[in-house]
Amino acid sequence: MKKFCFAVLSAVMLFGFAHTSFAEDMSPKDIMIKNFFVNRVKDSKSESAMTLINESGQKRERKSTGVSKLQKNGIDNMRLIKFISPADVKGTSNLMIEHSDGDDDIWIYLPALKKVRRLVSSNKGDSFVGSDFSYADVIGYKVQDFEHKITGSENVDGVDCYVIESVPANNKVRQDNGLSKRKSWMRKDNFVTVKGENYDLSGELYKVFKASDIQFVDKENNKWQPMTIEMTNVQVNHKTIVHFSNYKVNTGIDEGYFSQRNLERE
Amino acid sequence: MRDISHRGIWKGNKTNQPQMNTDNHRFLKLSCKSALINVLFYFVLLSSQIGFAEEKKLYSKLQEEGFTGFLRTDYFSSDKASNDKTDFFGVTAQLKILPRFSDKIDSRFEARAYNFDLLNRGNGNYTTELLEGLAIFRFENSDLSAGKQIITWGRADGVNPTDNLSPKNYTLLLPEEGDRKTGVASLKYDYYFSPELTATLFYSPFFEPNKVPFAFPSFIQPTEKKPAYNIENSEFAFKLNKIGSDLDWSISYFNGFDLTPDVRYLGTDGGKRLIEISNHRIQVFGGDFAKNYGRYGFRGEAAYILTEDMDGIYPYIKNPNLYYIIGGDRTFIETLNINLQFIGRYIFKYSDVEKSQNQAERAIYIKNATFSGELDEIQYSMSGRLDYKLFNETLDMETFGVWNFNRNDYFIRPIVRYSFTDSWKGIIGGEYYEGDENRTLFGVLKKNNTIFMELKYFN
Repeated sequence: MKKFCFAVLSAVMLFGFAHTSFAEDMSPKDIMIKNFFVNRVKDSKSESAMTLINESGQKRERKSTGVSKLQKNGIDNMRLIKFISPADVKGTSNLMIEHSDGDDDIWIYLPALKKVRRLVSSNKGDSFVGSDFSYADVIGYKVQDFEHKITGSENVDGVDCYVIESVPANNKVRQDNGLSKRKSWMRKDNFVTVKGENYDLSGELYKVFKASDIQFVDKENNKWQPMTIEMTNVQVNHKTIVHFSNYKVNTGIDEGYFSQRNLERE
Repeated sequence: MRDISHRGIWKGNKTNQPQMNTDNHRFLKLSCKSALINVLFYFVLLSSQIGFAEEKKLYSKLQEEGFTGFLRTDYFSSDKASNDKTDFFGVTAQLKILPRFSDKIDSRFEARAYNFDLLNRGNGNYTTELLEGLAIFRFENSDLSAGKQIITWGRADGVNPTDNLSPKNYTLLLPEEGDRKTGVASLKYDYYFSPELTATLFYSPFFEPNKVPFAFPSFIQPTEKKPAYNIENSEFAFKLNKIGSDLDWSISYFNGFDLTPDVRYLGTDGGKRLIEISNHRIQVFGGDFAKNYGRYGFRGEAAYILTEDMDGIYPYIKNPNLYYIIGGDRTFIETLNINLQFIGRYIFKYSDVEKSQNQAERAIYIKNATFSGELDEIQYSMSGRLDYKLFNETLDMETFGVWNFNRNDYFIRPIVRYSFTDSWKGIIGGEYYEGDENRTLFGVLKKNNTIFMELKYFN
């Protein structure tokens, strides 16, 4: 039954994606589905520099390489992120396998202990390696986990955007993500999120997201990717900025790459 | 800088000063050792990029080869050798390099040079240690790793009865659990049936035991008997490991030597009691799993251990036993993780060492049973780890502890880590053991109660 529901959902999402590309009066869910798929490339390789900036302006930098591949269902991603600096996190790797029909699989390899550890994937609100991004921010929010409504249109940096409010569909999603509400500003021309706000469980503004340097990375499949993303925890005034470089798509990476073998490879 | 560390070596090692005319071989060995220490300190300092353009160029080249290194200074209020010595100031240099020769051949080298007693009160020698040195040959569906390598098995937290391949040094004066392991010279072959399913074969004729904090009074004369490096003393192991589909699991088999030594009473000689410290063969049938249920992560690990004393006759060889751990963890308020585990052990063919007739023998075998965990037929323990990360993981406060229900002894290890910058980290913590000093594991280790501090620079 679970698999059947998942198949129906997948069909609806894919159909909705194809159908709504020509529609002017899209529902908020249609917009979210388009947003969900806009940066889901067949596969990608990139390098990233993550800068963490605290309240007093002190900076820490983490460099990593990332590889992703869309699974055969065309919805779920597999990601392998390896940290290459600084020295105390070098060799630490994260393998994330998404499952639309259930909990995701997340593992971390800790080189100091030479050990792979399965993480509790329900804790989506947990910080991703000490940054202001959560695991949910990295993996992506599942469209069906939230109820969406369009609250208006706004111009962000000269581009017309939908403003969409998303509230957790149930208490589990609310608790897992540690969020009571998300607000997203999505470009009307390509459905990329350029701004976002996350609200904590007490309804207070928690984090603010910004994306810039949005590039058309796969013209054939209409895929876009911001090359700079930024998340600020406004409650503690801490910010994380990620710059992607050498972003390559459709490189033909093999599915077998997303394995414990590569997770442990320092 | 090289000169300073060179002088330091000989200053700190007066008893080992080379005598060219009497022992050339020894001199050569020590020269190699000092050279290695110099190289370690030099490269770690090089990583700070203090120096000239040529050195910076060399450092840049090393970084391409996956070079990392660190320098750390430590203070321990007590050592871990169960004696009465106090106040140890130490320094450690460690470097790691990952040369990649081609897509098919990787390698990994990690070495450490340390002196845990700069005050030099008799045991303050500089020591070098190759932690890992191996080549990894990559094939389409398999990897062959050859050389000295650290291998960790077991999914439980901190207590792993299936982890029997690489030795640990429990006397090391370094604060992190990950520092204790050293590699074992071996061959490891991993065959990947799929991205999720892996079979591993392990072989080694070079057994190395754990270093444990045994301490004996002066009237006891211990002799260590380590299995020789030869084919007869080969160790081998097999593991089938599966990850994914919501459940990770493995089954394993190990045939080799017990990492934890046993103590045998040999008799007396001129008023001294003679004992032998040796490691016996064991076979371990093991398994583990990890699975999430909602916001809880569950883990379990079990091992059925067969020994050379299957009938429980010899008090100087461990009995067969069943060792299991089950527990789980949950994260609260984003960064507070609590991990609790129940630990059980059943000793087959149990006999009470207290009933031994010979008084001298009895004292030795009580100590042996205490270290081996064989004082009671059925034992129950609990472990707990609280880990609280703050300020975007800049501050990490952790406490790990184990409580043995049977004899009410316990161990607790709080540690606080703070990252001042990406290159500087400070650590402060302690280890506290409590229990009956003669009849409990943690009571025996009471003399190792310590407070420690570390300042670490890495690049």
